[in-house]
Parts: sequence; structure tokens; C-alpha cells
Amino acid sequence: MTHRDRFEAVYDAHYPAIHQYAARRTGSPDDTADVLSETFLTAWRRIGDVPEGEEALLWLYGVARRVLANQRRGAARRAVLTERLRAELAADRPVSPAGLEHVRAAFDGLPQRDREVLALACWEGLTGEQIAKVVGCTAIAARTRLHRARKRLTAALERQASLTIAMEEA
Amino acid sequence: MSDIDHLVKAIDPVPHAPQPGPGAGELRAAIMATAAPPARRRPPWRAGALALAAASAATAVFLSQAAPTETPSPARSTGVTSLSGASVLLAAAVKADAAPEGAYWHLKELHAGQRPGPYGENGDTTYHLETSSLFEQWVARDGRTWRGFRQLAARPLDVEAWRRDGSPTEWPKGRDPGPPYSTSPGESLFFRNKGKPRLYWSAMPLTLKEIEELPADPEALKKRALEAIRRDKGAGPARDALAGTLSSLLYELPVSPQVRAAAYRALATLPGVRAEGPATDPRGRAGVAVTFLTQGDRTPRTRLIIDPGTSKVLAAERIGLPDGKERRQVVLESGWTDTEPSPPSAG
Repeated sequence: MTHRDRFEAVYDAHYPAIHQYAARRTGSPDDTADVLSETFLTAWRRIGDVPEGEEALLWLYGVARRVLANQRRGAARRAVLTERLRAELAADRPVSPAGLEHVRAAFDGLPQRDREVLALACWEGLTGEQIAKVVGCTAIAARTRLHRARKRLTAALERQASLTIAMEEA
Repeated sequence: MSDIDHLVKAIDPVPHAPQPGPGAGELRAAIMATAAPPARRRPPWRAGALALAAASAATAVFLSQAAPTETPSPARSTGVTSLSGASVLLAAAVKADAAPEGAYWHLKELHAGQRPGPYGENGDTTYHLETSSLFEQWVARDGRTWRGFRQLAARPLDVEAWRRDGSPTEWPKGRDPGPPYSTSPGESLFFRNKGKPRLYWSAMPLTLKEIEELPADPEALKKRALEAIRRDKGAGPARDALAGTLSSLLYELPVSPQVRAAAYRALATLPGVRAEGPATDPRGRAGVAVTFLTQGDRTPRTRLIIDPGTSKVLAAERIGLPDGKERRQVVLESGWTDTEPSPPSAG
């Protein structure tokens, strides 16, 4: 299998998942497009290092995560980015589910570390071991972080609930 | 899944994977039109197999003398006669770059070596195309950056076979999406990068100031290169990406003459380096070739062609890839200029 074949296979298999990952975590279609292009450009330039099978997706998540973390926006806006992709992404923006604003608020109030592991577990559906590979820590550390994040979110929701009750009683 | 997990899942802002549209295919084609850079392969160096001592030609002198243990600082070696290869080259680099005057750092690369095909399968002989593209980057002293990209005209490698094929001027890309290969150059893409301007050294984002502050000591520079590579979790064992990462300091980033000299010296310490002697780059410019063993086998995969007069890198090539193809990065411009950034011309 040539590098080109391999890249095409990786791209076609994982483009939707990386698109989804990026769209969940960016504020605008342009940023989503940047994350997509920079992530896959990295994969192309490092195609010999992209692991086989399911590991490839975790590797790509790891790259996309760094792209986001480094806020590479300016640098990522390369010539390779096509107008059509931006238009395509603009037409396909996330919506917030009605009635769950309080959950979103509690989630947004968590530290970034907590939000990251919860999102990887619940949105991308990753196990502790897989999360460890994406964020670059041990599986035990990932599970611990996940456990603590769940507890903090629960506590935040309970605080909210008691606040609501208190306000209703007042 | 716990209750709390269900709640988090319920606030997933993008619960369904979006369907990729034509833009996804265009992005893929655009990415694959860029050169995959050299020196990204892993396996161990064959230290010793291609020892520096066995090397011949002027670069051997240059490289061996450039080893940090025996190299005087480039400034001190200025004016040494032509017999002392290393010193003269390093001194030339200092002289050539000593006063980096100009408003913009400018890099202009020709990416070539792709040979799509075969075409003309209805005739008796098939043929391949030679395709290439231009990539340009400007960095202003205040950190603003611009990029330009242009696909250049494709050329059939076997003109007779092409004539028998009816002399087409366009060729479909097959499975690759995007506009067909053409005997006319593509549109030029040119824009200024907004947001936080950064340049990349391997996976390490650097500001202009940070680039200025890179160490001018070969060992310290090697350490920084390894750090840069390690930021990239997928880059594999960092030592194996060293040649490519150090090479990029020679032409891809606006480093000081001292750092460039240090990068040359650091490269000279790598176990898989070999001087090959005189060579010409794909543009026909004369230089000397240096190869780096970046794979476990006996054939070097990465080759730099250097102009011994100026010590500028003329071309960085990735040769003998597993698919039998080659990627060539030809450095057309690399230095400071007062000329305003502008869209790449097809010339």
C-alpha cells in the first residue's frame, strides 16, 4: 500500500469523526475547517507514523486536540483550505438541545480538564484506556480524571438544584 | 453508562457525524498536492555503515570539520583559504547572511517529483506526467505572515506517447478529487494569515522572537530539535526525525546566521550522514549532495543539495520511497527581502 493509498484510506475512514470532534469544540465553521485541515495535513506529513486500525482515530484525535490547544488558527489557515469546505461547514452548525441549558451551564463551569475527559467519554464514546492515548497519560490517570470529573459535574448540578429550590422557596 | 454520562451525552452539540460533502474531497486533494516532507521515517540509523570518514569530495571536509569538537566559531574562520572546506562554507554563510536586511522573510519552494499516471492506456504506450507546485511564505518583522500556493503546468514525460494519445491538455485525477492536471498552471492562492502568527519548527510553534533566540550551540540546538519533535506524539522516535528537523533550520525558518551554522554542525554529528559529491538540483543548479540515513535499510532516503559557495540549501529531496516515487522540495528563495508579498506567478 502506497503512502497515498494509506492517507486516502485514513482520511475517508475518519474524516466524519474528526469533523464531529472539531465541530463540538470550536465556535465557528472557519475554526472547524482549520482544525480539520491542520489535523489531516499533519497526518499526510506523518503518514508513516499513523498507527493501524482503530488506533489511527485515536492518533488523529490526539493531533486535533493539540491543534485546538495551540490555537493554531492563524497558522492553520493555509492555502489548501477550500472555500467550499467552509461553506459546507457553515451550513452544518451545532444546535443546543432545549431544556438542558442547566446541564450545559454546569458542564461549561467545570475546569477544562474535566470537560475534556467527559466529552471524550460521552461524546466520542471512548474508554478510559482510549482517552489515555488521546491525551497522553496513563489509563489509570484517565480513569481517575474521569471519575473526578463525573463527581464534580454531579456536585455542580446538585448545587444548581438546591439553588433553584431555595429561590422558589424565597 | 452512568446517569451523569447520559446527561453529558444529551448535551452533545454535534450528536451525529456530519456527512462529508464535496469540500471534504477538495481538502483531501489539496493536502495531497503538498509535498510530504523528508526525514519522517523511523527505523534505526545504520551508524558506522556510512561513516563520515568514508565520504569524499568537498562536503566531506566541510562536514567533518564542522563537527563541534573541532570547529572554530564561524566568525573566526572568516577569510580562511579554499582548502579548509568547512570553515569557508560556514564563513560564507555568515557573510551571505550577516546583515539580514529587508522587511520580509521570504521562502519560495517548488514541490516536485510527483509522477501521476499512467495515461494513454488506449494507445500502445502509456506515459506519466510530471507535476509540480509552488509554495511561498512571507513573515514580516511584526510577525504578520502570508502564504501563497499555485499548481504549475503538468508535462507529459513521454512526448511521443502523449501525441499518440491525441495530445490531451488535461488529465483526470482518477480517484483524486479536484481539478484535473493541466498543461496550464492553476489559479494562484494567496492570503494573509489572521490570528496569532506562528511559524512551525517540527510540531513546535515559534514566534519570530523565539526563533531569534534559538541556541547557536550545536548540542543545545539538537536538544531543542528533539523537544520540538517530541511535541508531536505521532512523530515516532525523535532521534530519527532529527535530520529533517535540523535541516529545516537551514532554509525554512528565519534563523540567525549563527544558528544556521550551528544547524550545519549539528547535522554533521548525526551518525547516518554522508557526503555524496557534486550534484545538480532539479532546476539544474550545481551543488554538492549530502544524504541522511533515515530508515533501517542501506539506501538513504533524504538528500540535501547545498551550494558550496553560499552554503544555501538548493533542494531537499526524499528519494526511493516505498511506492517508488520521489518528493523534491526545491528552494527557490530563502532570505530577507523588501519585495511585498504577492500571489505566486507561474514563471
